[in-house]
Amino acid sequence: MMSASTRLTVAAALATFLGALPLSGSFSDWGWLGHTVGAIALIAAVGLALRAVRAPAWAVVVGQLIALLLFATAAFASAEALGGIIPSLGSFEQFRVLANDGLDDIQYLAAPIPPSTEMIAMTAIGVGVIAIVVDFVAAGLRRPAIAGLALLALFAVATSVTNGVPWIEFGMAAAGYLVLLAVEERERLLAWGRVITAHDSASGPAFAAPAPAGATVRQRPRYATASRIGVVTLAVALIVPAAVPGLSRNLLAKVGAGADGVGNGDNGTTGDSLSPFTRLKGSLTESATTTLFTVTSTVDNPYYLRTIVLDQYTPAGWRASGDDDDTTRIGPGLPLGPQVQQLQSQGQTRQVSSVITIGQYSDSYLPIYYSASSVSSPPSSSGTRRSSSWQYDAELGEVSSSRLTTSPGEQYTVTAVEPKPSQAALSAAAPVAANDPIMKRWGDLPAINSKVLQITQDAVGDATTPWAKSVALYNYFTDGRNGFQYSLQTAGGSSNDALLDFLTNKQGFCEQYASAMAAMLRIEGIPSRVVLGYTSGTYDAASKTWTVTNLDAHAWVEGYFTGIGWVEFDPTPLGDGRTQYEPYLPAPTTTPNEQPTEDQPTADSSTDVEQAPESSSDLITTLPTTDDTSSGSAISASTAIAIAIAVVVIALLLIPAATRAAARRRRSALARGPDPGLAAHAAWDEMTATAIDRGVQLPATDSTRALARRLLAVPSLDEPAKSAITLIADAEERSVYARHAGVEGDLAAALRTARHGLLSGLSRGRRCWIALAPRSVLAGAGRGQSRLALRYTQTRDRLAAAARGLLPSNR
Amino acid sequence: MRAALHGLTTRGRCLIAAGLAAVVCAVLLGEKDLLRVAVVLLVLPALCVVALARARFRLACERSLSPTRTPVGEAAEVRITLRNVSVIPTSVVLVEDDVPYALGAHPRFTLDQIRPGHDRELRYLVRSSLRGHFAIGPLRLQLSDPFGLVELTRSFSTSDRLTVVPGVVPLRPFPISGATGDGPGSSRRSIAARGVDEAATREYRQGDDLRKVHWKSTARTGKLMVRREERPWQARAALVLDCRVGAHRGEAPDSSFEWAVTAAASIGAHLITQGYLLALADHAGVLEHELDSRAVLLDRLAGLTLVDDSPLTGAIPALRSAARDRTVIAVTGAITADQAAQLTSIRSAATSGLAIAVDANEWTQLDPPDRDRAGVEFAAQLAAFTDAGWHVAAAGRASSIDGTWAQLGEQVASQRRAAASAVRASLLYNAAGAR
Repeated sequence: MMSASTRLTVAAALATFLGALPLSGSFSDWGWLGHTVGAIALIAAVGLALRAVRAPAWAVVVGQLIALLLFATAAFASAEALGGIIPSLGSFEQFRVLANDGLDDIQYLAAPIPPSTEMIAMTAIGVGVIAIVVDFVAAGLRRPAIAGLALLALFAVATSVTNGVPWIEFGMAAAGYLVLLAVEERERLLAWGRVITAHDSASGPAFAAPAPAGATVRQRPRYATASRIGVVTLAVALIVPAAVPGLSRNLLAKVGAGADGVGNGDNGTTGDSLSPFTRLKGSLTESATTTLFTVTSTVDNPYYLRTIVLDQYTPAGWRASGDDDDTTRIGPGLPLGPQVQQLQSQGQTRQVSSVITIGQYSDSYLPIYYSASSVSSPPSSSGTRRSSSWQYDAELGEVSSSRLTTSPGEQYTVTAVEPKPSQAALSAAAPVAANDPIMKRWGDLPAINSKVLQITQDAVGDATTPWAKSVALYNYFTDGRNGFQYSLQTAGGSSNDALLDFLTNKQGFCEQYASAMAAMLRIEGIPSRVVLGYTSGTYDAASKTWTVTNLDAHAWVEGYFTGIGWVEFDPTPLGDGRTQYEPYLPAPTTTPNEQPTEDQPTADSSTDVEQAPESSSDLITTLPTTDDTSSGSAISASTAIAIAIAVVVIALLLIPAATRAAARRRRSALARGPDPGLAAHAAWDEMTATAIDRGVQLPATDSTRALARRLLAVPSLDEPAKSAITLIADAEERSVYARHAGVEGDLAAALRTARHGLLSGLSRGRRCWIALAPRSVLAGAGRGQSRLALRYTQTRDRLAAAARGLLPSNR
Repeated sequence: MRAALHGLTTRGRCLIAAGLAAVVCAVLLGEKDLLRVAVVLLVLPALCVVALARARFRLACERSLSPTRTPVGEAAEVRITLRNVSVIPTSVVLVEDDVPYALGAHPRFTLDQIRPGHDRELRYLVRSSLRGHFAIGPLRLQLSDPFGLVELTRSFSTSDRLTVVPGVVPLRPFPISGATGDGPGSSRRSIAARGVDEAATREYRQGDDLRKVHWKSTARTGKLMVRREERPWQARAALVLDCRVGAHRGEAPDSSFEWAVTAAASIGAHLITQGYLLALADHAGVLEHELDSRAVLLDRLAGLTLVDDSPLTGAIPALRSAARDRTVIAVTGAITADQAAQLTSIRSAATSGLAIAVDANEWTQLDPPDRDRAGVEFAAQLAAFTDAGWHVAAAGRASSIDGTWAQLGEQVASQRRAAASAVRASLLYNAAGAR
């Protein structure tokens, strides 16, 4: 026999376990669950053992804490422990390291993360502590409602990490809490007074049904009502929030646009909720100017420093695909692209080496040059594991880390082999074939507005080679006669519609320029990508350093040319006087990718400096435009969900009516059947069910005859109905009590008449209501007696058959 | 529904408050998951309220006590039958019967589902160490939902009465009337004075056989009268009990008063069994003139409580008339010699007076000088009774009732012996009469 505290302890453990399930959203697989369940089970077992010997509540808590400590030691720090289980100083040091690593993981990794040892440890220990709290409050203090706060904390962790907890996991967590409440309440009831059940009470009514087989088991209050209420509560909780439109932004975002990339934090590479463009804009519009880093270079005109490459063009705009599996640790001898190596052998490259000193720049991307040949590690990257080091992605030309960020004072050296292809080589570059892997990777286009296609065609004009087309597009943006103006007062966004807007309004900043030109390059069949990074910054001749501030954040374009590789374009026309300076691209020289910054790099960034502050205030308010673009389809999706829910709800509401109709058909068929006993039962059952539907009170304790009298008392019965009722009641009575069942008369017809009579005299609405919500089904009434009758008849028939077998045959 | 709403428990209210807070937070933060939590917290109490408000079953309650009259310290069984008189089964019901704390804690029961037409029988024992009339009930029902969020209390209105009567000690018989020979069966004179009809009837009491109704006197008195079974020429006695607060010490159940009441009950019951018609009086007046039922006597004694110190003087005439021609038996507490002398005056001539003087000071702690003074007073009290020709027995905390009664018996017997030695003829006559 389980005691109250046993049941409560088990219920508390179950509630904690179910409450921990939503955490699965933070992990990429279920590897974390084993240890967590182990911790919960151990805590429950210790609780059971200590409560069995009636230890005081505080002793139970202490015992559970010790058990959790031993468990954590054995599972995660056994190497340093005494006997693998007793924690030593070394194990605590190991815990500290685990905790640090875990905190790092939490800070830098985006959910879902693979369950690493430190995360498994943190989860198991954290859930274990919650389990102890829940156990103490629910089983120790007998305050299960308050234990909900601890469970809520667990749930809050899960929701804050993930983008919405799946409904099934929420349902299970909530069910765990409800179970805890119900178990405690039941224990309270049982402890309230002496429990009196039907079997304790000697004087049951004489007509009580025979006791079921398990009658020796003491019956106790059951959970039937609790489970009914709980299920309805959970159903409402799962349906209602989905039907509330204003709140379900998460749901809409998920359903409507899927992973719409820009503007949504789930692109997996940054570990940050802001899209690269949003961060760029935020950087440009910040009112304060901060020095991000300084650069000392071997050349006097270093090119832009890049951080992130956006390689995918989706209807929502440019985004980073996050495809970074092909990476190497930074260091000397980074792989150069084959084209760069070829150019290097032809002498068409330039060696650049810069020392970069980090200032206020804090990011998980290191600014580097394109085609870097070596990047030295900042001091902080002393870790040994892959996740704790800076990784170089040769394909994109990015250096990033999933865990590290830069910190002030760090220094590293970037050496790059800058391609300086000749004009001739560029002009000779052949178009990239449509089936080339390069084209698949960098040339993908969503459906493009036809107006954009038209504008692109106009801009390209009669240019034929990829290079000529590129230059034409470059000129289209940078030529002052086309009317493009630099303005930070443009709404952000690089989506399809935003592209057309920009090409029509001709106002924007580097985000729009870069996005538009990259898109138009792809339209023209030239592989392209958008690069985010920093311009060279401000040169201080005295110290010979370049100072890069947040206002130097920039975006530009790279186009791919066969045999040459990526060539950089900066289509952003520079404001106030800088627009005149574009002598070289209409007549490209041998250094086409040396952009305006080459001569006056400081002026380039100074335009941003001047433009930014005046426009900062109203820009931030207009930022979230990508959400708007996706909301159209999302609302229709939510409508679909609402319709689906409505259908389900209606179907659920029709279940009673369907059940009733099915029962009626079955009984009508039986009433026509050959077996007089079954026919009588069926007709009788159907007739009483109809009466119950109508609201006639038919106590299960009444005899058949008494019930028939009640039926006959129903007003508005006509004579045929009354005689039909009498006939059916007679048949039922005979089938139960008489030696031979069966009466003279058509039971099926009588049943029809009786039904008609019983339902007559009711309004149409009332009859509809009876059909939709039949009481006989909803109350589950009217079954007991007929079942009893059926069992009686069957038993009698069996006995009769047995008796016939025993007696000598007269025949 | 409103009642169910008012029945929200602290837990239910907390859940609703938390749910409302969660709704606000969910709206402010746009968190769908929080909204789900809020919905759970709000819908659960709401459903519980609805479920409880819908549970409109009716229960009939029937309570019986056996016995309804129980001596101090002995148990009585209370039997409650709850029947579901509605057509729907009940939910789990918590039942609590309201009993005075003198009888112990409130008995509580948890009842599982009762099906329509079925019933449950609850039994429990009550035991009291105090005399008195106790109300058992009314029965309270508590309905609650399975999560403990709502609680409704319904109460039946009827209660039953349990009478805890003083214990009765069996006593050895002796002829209390002493030398005068006024024993049972010899009070013809008083019968003649009243007339047979009147003496042979008494008022109808519950339980009397209707065949015994004496219609003639019923018609005359306007009340239902029955014939007495007993012989009308009955022996009579008067029992006087001192119920003044000042006369007794100690706290119930261990007090001089309880001792006195128990003694009175034992003596009264003994005399009624012996066939005496008993008058019962306390210091303030007559309680019963004609007691011939042990049960009625015990009922009266069960309800006796100490009353304030009214002087004996006022009641003396009433007592005297009630005790006319009867043997008087007085059980007194602390009483001054003066008061004792007054009390002795209620005895009619030619009847005997017996007194049990309870030394109340034995039930309290007294300083030596007070104790000495109290001892002197008590001796004076005894002397006052003896002087008036009463037989008196002193009783203390350690005295047994039958022992004290036996002392009185000794006194009566010795008086009778003395009388016998004085007048032989009279002795012979009396002895024959007594036999």
